[in-house]
Amino acid sequence: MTKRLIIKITIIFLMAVTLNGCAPRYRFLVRDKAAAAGWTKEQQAVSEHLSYRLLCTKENSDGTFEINHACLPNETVAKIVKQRLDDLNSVLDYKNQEWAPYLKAFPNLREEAEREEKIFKAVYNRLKLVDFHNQFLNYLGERSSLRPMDLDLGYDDKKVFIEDVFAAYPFTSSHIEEARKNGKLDDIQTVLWFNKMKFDRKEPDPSDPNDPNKFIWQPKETGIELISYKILDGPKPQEKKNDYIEGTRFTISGSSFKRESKPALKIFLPEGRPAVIVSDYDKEGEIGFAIPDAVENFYVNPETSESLFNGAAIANLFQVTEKERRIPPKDLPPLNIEIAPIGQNKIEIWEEKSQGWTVTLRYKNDRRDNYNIRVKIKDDEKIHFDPTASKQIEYFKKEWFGNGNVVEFFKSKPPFDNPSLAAVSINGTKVLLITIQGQDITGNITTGPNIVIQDTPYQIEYTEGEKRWLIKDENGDGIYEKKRPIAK
Amino acid sequence: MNFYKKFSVLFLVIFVLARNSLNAQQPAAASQPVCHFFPEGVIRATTPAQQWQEWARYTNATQNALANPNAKEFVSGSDEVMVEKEYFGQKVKIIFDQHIRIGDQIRYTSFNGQYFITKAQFDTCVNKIDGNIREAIEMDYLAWGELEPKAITIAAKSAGKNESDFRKELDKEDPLSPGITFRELRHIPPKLEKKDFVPFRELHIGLSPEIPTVLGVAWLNTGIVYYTPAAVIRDHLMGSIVILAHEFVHNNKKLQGIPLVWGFNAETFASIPAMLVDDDHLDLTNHGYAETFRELIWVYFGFDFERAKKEVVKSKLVGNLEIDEQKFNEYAQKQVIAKRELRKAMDKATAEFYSKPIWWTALNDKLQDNESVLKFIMATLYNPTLLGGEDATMKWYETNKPKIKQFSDEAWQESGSPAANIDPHLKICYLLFQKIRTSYQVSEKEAEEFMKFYKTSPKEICSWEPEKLKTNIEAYIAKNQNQRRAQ
Repeated sequence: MTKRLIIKITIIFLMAVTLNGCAPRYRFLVRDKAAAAGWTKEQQAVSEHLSYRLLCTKENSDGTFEINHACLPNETVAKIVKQRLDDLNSVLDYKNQEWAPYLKAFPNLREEAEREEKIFKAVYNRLKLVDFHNQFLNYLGERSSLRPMDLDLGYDDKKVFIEDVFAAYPFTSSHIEEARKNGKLDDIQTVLWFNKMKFDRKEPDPSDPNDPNKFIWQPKETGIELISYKILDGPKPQEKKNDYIEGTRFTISGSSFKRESKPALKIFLPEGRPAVIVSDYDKEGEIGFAIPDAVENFYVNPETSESLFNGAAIANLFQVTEKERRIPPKDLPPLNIEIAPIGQNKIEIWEEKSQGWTVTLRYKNDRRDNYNIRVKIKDDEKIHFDPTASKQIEYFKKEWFGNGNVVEFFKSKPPFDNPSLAAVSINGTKVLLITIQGQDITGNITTGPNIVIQDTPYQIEYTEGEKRWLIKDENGDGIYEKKRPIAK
Repeated sequence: MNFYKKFSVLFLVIFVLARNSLNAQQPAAASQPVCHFFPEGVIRATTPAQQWQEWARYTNATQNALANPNAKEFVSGSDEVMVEKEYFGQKVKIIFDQHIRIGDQIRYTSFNGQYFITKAQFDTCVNKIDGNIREAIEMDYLAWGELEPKAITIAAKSAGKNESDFRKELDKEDPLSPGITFRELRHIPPKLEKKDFVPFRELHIGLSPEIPTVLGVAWLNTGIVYYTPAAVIRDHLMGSIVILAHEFVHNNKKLQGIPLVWGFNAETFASIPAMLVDDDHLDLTNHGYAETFRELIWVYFGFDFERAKKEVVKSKLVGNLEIDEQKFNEYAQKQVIAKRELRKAMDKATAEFYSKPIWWTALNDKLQDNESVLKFIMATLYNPTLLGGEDATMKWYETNKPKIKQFSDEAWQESGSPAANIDPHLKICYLLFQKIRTSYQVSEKEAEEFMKFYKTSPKEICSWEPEKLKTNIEAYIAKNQNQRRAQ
């Protein structure tokens, strides 16, 4: 098959996909309708092209036409801006195996795309602001029901690119503001909540994002101050119901407590209507701070501000942004060649400390008897198939059932180290050995020094954190000079 | 698969070799020094038909050396010849790929051979490229240079402000987004300068083994442009530097920056003015990027390109077209009238687009049409003439206006991408199609006929194994060929 034919095939295949109607195209829709009405292909073409005049233009008094931008809902414009933000996010993801090398090859490209991301985010916030404000006034009942909704839905850049958005879109209630002005708005409850987590979430390691077992822990810090307000008619209200709640994020660094300059959460509790929640997910310093990201009705009016922690209202204020998930990979070490002939280098797997390693965990109870005794027969794998073979004890283990799953290994004292044993039996702390010659050797492994095992273990295994360790006393002086990690 | 990766990820913008295109009329300049890779006897055509005939000859003459389908990869090296130049204050490295300096000599490698060239030959080529760069910049600047003031006029009017106040507002920083101006929010491009069209990183004069028939490639936002030897030959033949001018529009970040460029047809926009210049008689007639131009000319100015093609090509005998030269030249001259008018309209359309680019990309998405601005502006400037002249067309329109309004309203409700609900696989297919469809000039009708032939649906085709797809396509092409000739 020629290359040309392959290309043709690919194209036809793709063409077919588009004709499926996964994304209906206006011009084909108009022409199909015109064709169904029995119009010729020339008439179909004219109907399509003149339909543009009917769709999004307005006729001026002099007979000329101009574009009518209000034909497109503001929400539709916001949708495409959101789409671009999603596209940019995908492109800027360090884990994107196709784009990441491209952005690395042309260093300015990432910076430019990140800047565009900020710009598109700023535009998106402004577009959403227009619709959110309409929604907000509707929810509060402060928008005239006589005004047709269509009047406020169309795109208008005079509404979007405003310098003072806080004056144009205040997100305040006239009821609350009037009370505030008259000194009747009183703060009746303050709740402070702070949570700092070192290990909040796992993110894939950007240097090898496809390996689920490689990951990076990310921390999280969340803090919010919730102040509830009540409109007071007198010094002693009949009930404690809130009228308005304001939440402001804060951070704690050392001894300094820093509030954001504008509230992230406003909850309006109008009489006889569901509560209205206005939330800003962007933190101070991020694009979009102080601009709402959600305006919602809340059908269960919070009696107290603590009850807000039961829902998503607070959690939403601390969402992990896509940008926070974007972790640049560390530079890989230089590629080198290393040749390692066997036996040429001594591989030191032990970490040594002359003062010795200790198990810092408290794993013994007060009676020091929270362990089971186990015994290991030397070469037991081999003699398992030969019951006549003589046995010898390699070590005794004390398996402690406490912190760190500690296991202590002990050598036997004579005569328990006899190399010609026929049978070995452990019953609780009691040890019974029978020699080949038929002699019984018995003893008890008591909690302190005893006749069976050495007074101190020659090695100890334990778990600390996420690792299991082995410490070893090689010369029997009771000092564990060596330490190494072992498999769990 | 390579195509998918290239197009979807790196977002190449390409100008593909348009074989058997129609076209041109230029003063003869046979004696003008040209690059060593030109086939012998290259001329500048004096008639549109000659442009077409000569281009068909040159593509065949250079097929093995410059557009070989069996080409293998090159590996670029530090030994390639690089010439540093500056145009209107912008430095650019011109890299002559496949040209290696060995001692005092320069060695050139193509897809079918390797030879040494003299310093004089190389200098001639450098001068040729230098001249083409200057001409391409001038061509683009003439078309795009005044875009910013025109866009500002439209945007200011829409904002209900005078231009002076509006400009002041644009320069202000958004109080909500420190470091970002209102101009950036609105995406109204800054004033364009000639240097904006110059690749700020590298201009490669080189072959493109991965896509051997490509003429030019621009990597958006990177300042890298490839201008192939075949394109240099073609631009010489045409007498206008259309391919390089096309790539330079892509290269201009103020016009085609990521991500804005994802929301409109960058190829059609980059074909302004290149495919609408008087001298180029090939591209408007045949090139995939000019499909919408042809449609607009047909609907509004009444010229039927399909009919013209049928009238001009008298027969096709084992790959040899017999054409009516006189008719072709006559039609080419008529097209010049249409192109000049369309250039004026496109000037208004681009100004309108860049006055509110985000709004237009949103409309494009709603209509699923990345060239909607061209169509809307034409509808505001002209009456169609397709149904037997303006009078007859407009009378038909007035009679049927309520019905058209109904179709339009219904189509408006139904159109638009389902966004989140769309199957990601189909979305990828769609994006890929958008990119390469125009490049290889497969009509939508062809795809429809293919589906009718196999009584299949697009969804079903998606589930076919590649081997089945290949067999069916080959059978379909063979069937169509057999209807016309016996081999």
